[in-house]
Amino acid sequence: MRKRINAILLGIFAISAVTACKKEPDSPPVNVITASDVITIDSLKAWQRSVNDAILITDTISVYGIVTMDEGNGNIYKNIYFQDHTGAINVRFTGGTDLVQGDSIRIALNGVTLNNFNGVYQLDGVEEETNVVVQSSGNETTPLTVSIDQIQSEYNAFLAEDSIVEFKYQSMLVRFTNVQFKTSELFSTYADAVTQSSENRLFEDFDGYTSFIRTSGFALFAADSLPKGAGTMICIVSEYNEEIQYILRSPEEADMNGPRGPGELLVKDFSDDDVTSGGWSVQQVIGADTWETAELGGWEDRPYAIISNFDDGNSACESWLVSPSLDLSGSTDASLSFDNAYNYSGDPLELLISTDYSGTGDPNLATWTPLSAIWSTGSFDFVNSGSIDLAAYLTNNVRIAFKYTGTDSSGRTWEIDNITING
Amino acid sequence: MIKKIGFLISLSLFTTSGFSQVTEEEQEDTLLTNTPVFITNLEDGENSSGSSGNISGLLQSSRDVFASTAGFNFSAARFKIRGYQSDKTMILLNGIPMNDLETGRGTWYRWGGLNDVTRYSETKNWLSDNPYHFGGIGGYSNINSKATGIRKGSRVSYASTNRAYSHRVMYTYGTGMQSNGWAFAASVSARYANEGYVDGTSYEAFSYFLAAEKNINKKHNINLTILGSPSRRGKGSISTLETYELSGNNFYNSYWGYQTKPDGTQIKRNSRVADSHMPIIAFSHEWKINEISSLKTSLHTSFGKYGQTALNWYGAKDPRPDYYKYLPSYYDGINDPTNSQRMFNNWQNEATRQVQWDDLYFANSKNLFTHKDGDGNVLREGLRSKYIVENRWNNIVSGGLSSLYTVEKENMTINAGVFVQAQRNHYYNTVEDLLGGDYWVDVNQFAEQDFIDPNAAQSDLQNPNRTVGVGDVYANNYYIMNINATAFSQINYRTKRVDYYAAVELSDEQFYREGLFQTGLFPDNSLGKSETKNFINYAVKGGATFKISGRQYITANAAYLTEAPTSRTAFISPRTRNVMVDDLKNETIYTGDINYILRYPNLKMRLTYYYSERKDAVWSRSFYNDEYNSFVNYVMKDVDYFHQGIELGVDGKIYGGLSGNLVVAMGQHLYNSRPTASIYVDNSAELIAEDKTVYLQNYKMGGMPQSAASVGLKYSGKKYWFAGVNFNYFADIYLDPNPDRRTAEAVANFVESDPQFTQTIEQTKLDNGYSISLFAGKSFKISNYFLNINVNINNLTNNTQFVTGGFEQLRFDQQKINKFPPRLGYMYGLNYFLMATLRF
Repeated sequence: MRKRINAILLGIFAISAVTACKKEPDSPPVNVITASDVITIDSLKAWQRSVNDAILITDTISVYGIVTMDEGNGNIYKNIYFQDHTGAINVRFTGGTDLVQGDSIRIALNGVTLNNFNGVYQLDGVEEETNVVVQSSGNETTPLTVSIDQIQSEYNAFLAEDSIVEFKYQSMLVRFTNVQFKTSELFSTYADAVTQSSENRLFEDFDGYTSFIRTSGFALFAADSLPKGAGTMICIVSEYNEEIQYILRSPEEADMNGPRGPGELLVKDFSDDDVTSGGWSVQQVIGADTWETAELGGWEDRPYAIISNFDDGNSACESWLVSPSLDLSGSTDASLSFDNAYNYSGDPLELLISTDYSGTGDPNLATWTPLSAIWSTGSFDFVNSGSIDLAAYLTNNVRIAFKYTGTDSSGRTWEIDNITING
Repeated sequence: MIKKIGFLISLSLFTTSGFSQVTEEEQEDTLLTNTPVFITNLEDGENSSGSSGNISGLLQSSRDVFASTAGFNFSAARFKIRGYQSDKTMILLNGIPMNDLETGRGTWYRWGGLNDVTRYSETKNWLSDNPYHFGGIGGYSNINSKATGIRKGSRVSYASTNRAYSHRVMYTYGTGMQSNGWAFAASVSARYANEGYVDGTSYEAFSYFLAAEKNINKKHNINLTILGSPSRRGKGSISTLETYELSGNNFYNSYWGYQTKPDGTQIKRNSRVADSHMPIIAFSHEWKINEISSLKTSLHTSFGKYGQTALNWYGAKDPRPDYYKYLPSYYDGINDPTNSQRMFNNWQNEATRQVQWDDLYFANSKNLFTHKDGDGNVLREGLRSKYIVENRWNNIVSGGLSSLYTVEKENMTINAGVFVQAQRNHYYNTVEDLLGGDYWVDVNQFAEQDFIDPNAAQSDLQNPNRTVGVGDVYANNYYIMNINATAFSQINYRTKRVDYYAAVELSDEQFYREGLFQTGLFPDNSLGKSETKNFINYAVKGGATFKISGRQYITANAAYLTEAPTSRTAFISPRTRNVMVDDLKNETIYTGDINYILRYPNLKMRLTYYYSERKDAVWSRSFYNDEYNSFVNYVMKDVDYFHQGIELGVDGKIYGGLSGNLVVAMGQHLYNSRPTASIYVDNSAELIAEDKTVYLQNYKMGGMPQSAASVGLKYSGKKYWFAGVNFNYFADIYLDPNPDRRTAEAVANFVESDPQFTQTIEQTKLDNGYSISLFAGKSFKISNYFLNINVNINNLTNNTQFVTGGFEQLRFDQQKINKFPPRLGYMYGLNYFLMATLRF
């Protein structure tokens, strides 16, 4: 028996002898990163600004951050947006990448060029294989909730002061609430998928501020229709030639399917070179001179609408440019604005509003009320009408009209553009 | 068992195929009563092991509970005693060394199926004295193949199993020594499976054994033995976790596919078929010189074929269904959900996730091609095969002389032996099947792309621009020649309290390559003989057994030896050139163990501590890399290994016929150095890397459980029956590390805190696992007939989730370690072996 106990004791001893020699596996030499090897995005921007020229980085420094936009939807190519707690920057690669939104990455900056392209800070010439190390995946960055005005104001201040203060929103992921695409865009797609050309699409918030998203014709959602309601939109802040533009990561993030809020109800800017598109009509009461489009002159938003009764002499004329029927019953406020210009002598153009015109037939048979506006002082100088209050007409079947009148001896040439009704 | 594994690895050109064969073969020879190395519990009653009878010999005999349990219960999980590969164990046939000279490994396939002959081999599973040869540090096994080694009478058996094969029949007859001085013996067997445990595998094997022995007079005895085992087997693959999950089958086999025959029927066809037959002829003469001394001299030869088929392709997409670009994960990694889904769908259907034979035929049928030489002369017109099945041959001719002189006195035994052996391996490829095409163009694909010199792409400049057909030799063709001469001597000295032994060995090993093709890329060092390497080695060992009492012993053994590198590892890219590893060195080994042994009638126990160090070994692997369109050869030198551990075996009677046993192996098997690695591509003169440091120290050797335990009960009834159960537990299983991932270059882009750094270098530890095995048997005596019925069942709970091993692919992507995930193998689910034997 004692022998058996001896054996057991010997066994325990042997087991502990083997297990005690736990040997740690070898490790190849590897660089250790210290705090001084890490740079933040705001420091990179400050460095670029101080040098004010492309910097080829030769130090072994790294920047850590999260991929806020990848190339998955084709809206951007060979680049990503990258954000840390100090800011965001555009990162441009030598080829397409496999990086995915939410990847937490370290960019080893050795060999990378720090640049500023038309105001946008960039890390350029990045090799995914050697410069980028994914730390983890699925790290969604919470977008900063902002307003169009807030960003535009910051940007204006930045441009005006030319200060050392950065435009902090550049390349950042932001979220707008209570935004909608403008009425004029509603039947558009994000971009032109056929010719694969980029398009800008205007959107507005309920406070009346406007900006646009710019989408590549190569984006997988280029041919998707814009959402027609209002809601929130998550996008990346970008800029080009001193103008703010936004980049959508995915159409799902233009979550704008709720009831529309106050905003543009109608825009007639004649950019399609068509007087009567969009439900507009011309009612010719007297004479043959009528509303047309033209591109002459120095007005920036050509083409515009034009009417004149002069053709080797004046002839009597009454011609109405009538809007489509508008339903303002859902609005709490409504307003109208337009640009106008004239030359020569004759009767003023009249701006009228009606709630009982059928849309066809002699408009003089309906009830029209004149509205006041700021009018051009002549010489084809365009002025904006100012915001014309329509609060007294929050019903359905509202139409506005421009009534042109000329005689055998006189008549002005009137030009109208950018007729906008907000409500 | 471990020998078998080793052999199979040695045969495979790919690391991948090697592993799969392990599974298959191992399962086959886990068969109760059938393993030549371990004599199992069932056969105890018949054990007539020929060990010499002194105490220290008995102590490590095959009755050792640790050895039999490790062989029977642990082999399904690829356990290796002391972590050694089979080259550390010496296999002998009638005292003639049988280890393959090219690899050093055991060659069990040469006598596979001859279980009635190999059953009673004399085996010691670790360092010990050895009356036949100095042997290996892993012990030795000597098969008695003399006619008198077969019991007089007939023995016929049938076995049914669901492992590598389904049926086995065997018949053995021995005359015993007859009054006329002659003894004859014969054994034949056949094994067959239309489809084995793994889908698409097949098995057709026959075996034969003939022996004639003559006592010429009292002093002279001669024996002639002829044996062989022709076999043809469709193989199983080892693949990645993803393929197992997608197919819902942990035994998914990527090697087979459906082929539609002209009559419209579909057959399962395996692309990897191994075809071997390597008979052995041995003649021996025993001379009893006087009362105390004898001389045994043997001549032997062995020759034959070993071929393994595989798909080959030219300018076409990879036909292997588990190629990484056919898996959803590849497309997930590049943000391509459409193709990911497409691949996922492809894997949902059995027909589409296997080899697409019909597509291969179709591709060949559309490839009308005019093959021209560099001057524009038309050499061949017709269907140029894009896909073929090739056969990779390794045919051996070997022979040798063995002579052993023995002096046996009352207290002392002296053995001295000399062994001379030569072996020629002929490696070459042939076209096995053109798959509907008319010819195959024998050019080196990679060289063709990269070199302007059209000669560079030639496989054989002596015979350029060849088109080849079925049976033609192509691609590579060379001999590896090995010559070994060894002398050893051992002395055993016995006293009342202590037995001693000591042995020395001196050996000379030579090898060279002889190219039969002049390779276009290496015109100056591919044809003809390479430099001949010569290595002289010596070895010493000794041991003592302290007899505390007749029931209690302490033994200790120690050895110091040097071993020549094998020609298998020495030649870099032997398929194309005569280039060897620089500064080839002998491997140095020192090892020792100490054992505490009890041998009471009701309690048997052995407790062992062992320690081994191996220094300056060469490690080499080849793998196919589609970026290079070629085999890549990875060679490490100055690889050191470290082994230590304890072995415990206890077997005791509990009550009546009930006994219990406990076996514990705790091992630590480590890489123990920082080797240097060089990487070469077969089809290019480019050296991808040279002498880069591999930070491999203290990584675990993979592919086996480093620790295992088994606890069992056995009941032996009075009426010649018994039954038992064992619960087996396996732990510390690691994937063998890919050396290339443990280099400074592999992590150059990373800093320590990057997760990829750890992912790249960290060794994968697999989950621990278990199995339950049952065994039972009963013997009947009906007049002069003895009937034995035995059954054993492995993995009773049908646990198919236990990953018993695998390896990291040598190819890897630094940024995405999982792009080339490890290949893993699972333990077979419930499997059985049922055998009835009739003796008369």
